[in-house]
Amino acid sequence: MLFNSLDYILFLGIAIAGFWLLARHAQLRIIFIFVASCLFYMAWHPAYIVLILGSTVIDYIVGLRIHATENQTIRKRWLVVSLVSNLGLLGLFKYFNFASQATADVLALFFGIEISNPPFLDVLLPVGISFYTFQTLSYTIDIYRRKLEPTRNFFQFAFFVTYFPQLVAGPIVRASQLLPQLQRKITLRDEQVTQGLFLIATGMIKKVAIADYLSVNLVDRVFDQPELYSGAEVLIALYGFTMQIYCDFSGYTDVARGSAKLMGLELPRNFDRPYQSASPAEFWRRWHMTLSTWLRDYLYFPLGGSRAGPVRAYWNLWLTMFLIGIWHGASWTFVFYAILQSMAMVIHRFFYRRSGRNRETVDGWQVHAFKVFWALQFVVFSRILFRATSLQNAADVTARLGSGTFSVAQISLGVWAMLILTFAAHYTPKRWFESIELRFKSMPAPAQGITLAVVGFVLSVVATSEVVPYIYFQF
Amino acid sequence: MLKRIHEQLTPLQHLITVVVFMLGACMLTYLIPPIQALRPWIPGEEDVPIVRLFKRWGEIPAFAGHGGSYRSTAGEGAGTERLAEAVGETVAANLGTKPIVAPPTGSEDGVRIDPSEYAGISVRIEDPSGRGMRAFYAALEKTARADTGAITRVGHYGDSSIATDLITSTVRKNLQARFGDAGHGFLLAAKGYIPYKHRGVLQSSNPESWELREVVRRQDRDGRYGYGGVQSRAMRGSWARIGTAKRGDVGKQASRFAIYYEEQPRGGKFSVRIDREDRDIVSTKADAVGDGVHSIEVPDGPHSIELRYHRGGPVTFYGVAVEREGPGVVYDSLGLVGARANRLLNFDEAHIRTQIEQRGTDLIVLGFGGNEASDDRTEQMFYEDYMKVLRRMRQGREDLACLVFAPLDQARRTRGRIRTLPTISLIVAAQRRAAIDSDCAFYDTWQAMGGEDAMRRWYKARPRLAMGDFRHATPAGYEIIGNMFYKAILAGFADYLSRETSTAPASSDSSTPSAADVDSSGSINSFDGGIPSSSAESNTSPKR
Repeated sequence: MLFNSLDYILFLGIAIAGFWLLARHAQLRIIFIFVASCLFYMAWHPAYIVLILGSTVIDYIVGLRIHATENQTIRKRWLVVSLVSNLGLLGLFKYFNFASQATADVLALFFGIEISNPPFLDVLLPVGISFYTFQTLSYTIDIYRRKLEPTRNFFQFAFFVTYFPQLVAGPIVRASQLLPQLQRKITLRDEQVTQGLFLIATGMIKKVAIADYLSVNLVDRVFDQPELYSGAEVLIALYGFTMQIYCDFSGYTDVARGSAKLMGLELPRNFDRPYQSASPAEFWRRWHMTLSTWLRDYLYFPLGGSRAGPVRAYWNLWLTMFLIGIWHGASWTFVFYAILQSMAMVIHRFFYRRSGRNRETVDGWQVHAFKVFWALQFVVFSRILFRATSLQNAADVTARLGSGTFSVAQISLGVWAMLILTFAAHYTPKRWFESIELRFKSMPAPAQGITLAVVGFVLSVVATSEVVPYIYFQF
Repeated sequence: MLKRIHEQLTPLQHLITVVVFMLGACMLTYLIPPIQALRPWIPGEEDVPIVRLFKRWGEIPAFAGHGGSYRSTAGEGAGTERLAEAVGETVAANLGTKPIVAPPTGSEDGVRIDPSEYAGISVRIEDPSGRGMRAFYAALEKTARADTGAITRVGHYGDSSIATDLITSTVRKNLQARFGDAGHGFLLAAKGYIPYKHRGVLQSSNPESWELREVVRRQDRDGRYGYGGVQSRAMRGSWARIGTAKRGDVGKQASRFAIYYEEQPRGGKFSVRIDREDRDIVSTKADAVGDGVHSIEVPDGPHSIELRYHRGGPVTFYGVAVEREGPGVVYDSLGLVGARANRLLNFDEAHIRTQIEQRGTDLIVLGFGGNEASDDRTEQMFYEDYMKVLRRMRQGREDLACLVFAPLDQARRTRGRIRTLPTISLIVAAQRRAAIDSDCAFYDTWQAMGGEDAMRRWYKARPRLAMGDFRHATPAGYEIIGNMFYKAILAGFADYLSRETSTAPASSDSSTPSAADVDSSGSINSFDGGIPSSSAESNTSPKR
């Protein structure tokens, strides 16, 4: 079920109504949302609900077992059970086929050993597996680290794992963020209503009016047949994809956060105007923040972080960034994307250290603008590997980019306008956006309802096709 | 007052009020006819929201088309089944590259096409008079018989859907696998800054040193654009390289390069290098403006040719043909991005006739209509255009077969719903009428795709077969069209052979009209004789 559909709006309405109707029955409403979340997931593929439920049961038991003993060896064994089962499923469904094919490719390329039919699993990639795997792992790891008490209420835990607004494309919520909210009395604040509705509306606008428009009218056609476009047009398509993926993913997060707010729950932010970053490191602190911080806390720090020796610190950084890159997909394009991003982080860190700068160092606005400009160019060009369907496609796009052709005849006025407006909006002060939210907040409820209906009508008119899925669903 | 009431609402009452007013606004769209187009759900036309999701349990989710997850995990059999549900079995059956096996030559049965070779099509080539395709099939018969040096040449003009060389490369690969690879065919000498891409051949040039004049833009007053519709004017420092493909099933060998250029009184010279070694210096100087061809023979194998501006006056290229001795088929992809059919009227009449004759083309295919779809014109206006274009390109030559290749379906999104443009059916009807009235054949690409709303189905299919602009197909979609067209050619050829055998069993080169020829029933694929079938002999090409 996609957020940008009438189905979701109605589903959300029913879920919220049931949630508040059962306000006096805390356990019942948790079960109600758990069942609704299962149905939400099963609307995609009913069989794979078994995976998520299996993962939920295992981690529920593991959490209790780890907590039940002080014996460090036993605690560690239970943690290994959780790690193996969760990462095993992720590896099997997401990376097995690629690993199999990649092994065959490498053997053929370097050793001349041809494997005509490498092992292949004819399975679909379960939607959201990369997200909920990390969520459940955060639960068992935090209990192991004694940072979290396990919940004895199975349905509370199941609610945390399967909660539908963030189930398939994040944000990656940690148990320590959501479980305490469920254990308290859930109330709805007026500002949550306004913020929730506003977030849902802006999320839909980002997805339907911006991301889908750029996708259909520019990005898809250029990446499908780059040879038909000039270098300048391909470059514009890269900027288009850069904006498309931001609006697509951050739009999803906005709808997820807005939906949760209407149930009195708070989900973490996932984006902070990432294209305002002045370096690759800052970009990853502003883009998909819940993934970056997850890997920082559960991988980078345990490896020793930057406090290990200098070489080890670079290795830790490289590995963490590589995993962030490869998390996005199992294909050679993502392998090279991961290498590019991790190398950029390592090189940036090297020069940052040599310059003797620290976090308090403030650049003049010209220097800052210069850095933001080049950081954006790096993001834009690395997106070739992110968007390309294969290395060949990436090579074709790059070749057209360097073809020395400058016609922009195939870029429509609408696309120009969309790109200029969205990039300009991205660099406006945050208070401008907040003032729009304040204006919405100051409206009486009937006016808010009518405004949202009008936004819905406009989106239905400008909608590109019936429903375009979110890019991050496939991760 | 509203504000005061608003302030007294609890958060839950606030939320309920917002929802009630939203629902109220939605209800109005059902009650007020002028805004009915805004209805969020149309009863009767659409399945019940939410419930409809559970009706489609088990379907592949419509993921964004990248990342590899879907592609790498969908089994081929299940994938074809799902595709068949979305776009029909005929279309789905033509997805992907299928191995084509040529029968052994010199068979005692003569040339024979097994019906299984063209199974899986619902639309065939329409040629009521039989005169549309006869010259082509006659040439193809000689090629299929493996007559020494028998090359069958096709020139496929068209708009951007042809310019991608995806449909044409599919037909080329199939025909060459079946009847023999006689080379990649014609290419523009240099592509300059225009979008131009051919598959199965290597091509590069320094774009800033070339000035291109396109028939589509009417950039040459004399209308001398060459066979490909684009003349490439070389400047000092210009170079262009064309080479045989390094990978793939066809196009990896060549034994002849033919350079087509303009002769003129002030003409300069160009140099030719073959496989990076100097070969010739060619002067384009002549007493009068004309069309020159310079052919270079090389041993059959992988080769490259490099053209460079040498010195003197202007040098204008029309293109380069890469060929082999044959027998085999050459399929020239002559797509022009942004072209409408009537742009071909910008060709000088005598010039295009000479060009087609020099090229030795047996069949000319006109695949336009994609750009005309946005024109506000009547069927009659389209018809008159096509009549003129067919006259200009064929010029009454009976030894030149011709076929009109209908446009792809095109759609527009209206309120999130994708509907076929009304002009498509007008254009297809006009093309069919013009083709029949001009004794040309007609291939209904639109119906082959599935007709009305095909673009919507192709767009929603997985793998996606249509682009999001609802005007173009994806590479997989173009490949399907190419495969279907190839099979339609085979089916027509099989009919030709059976008719030929029954009317003139002793000779495949009879020029005597038969009873069957005279009886023009008007049925699809009916056949009419009366045309000298030995089109090859009447051609002026020295290369055949």
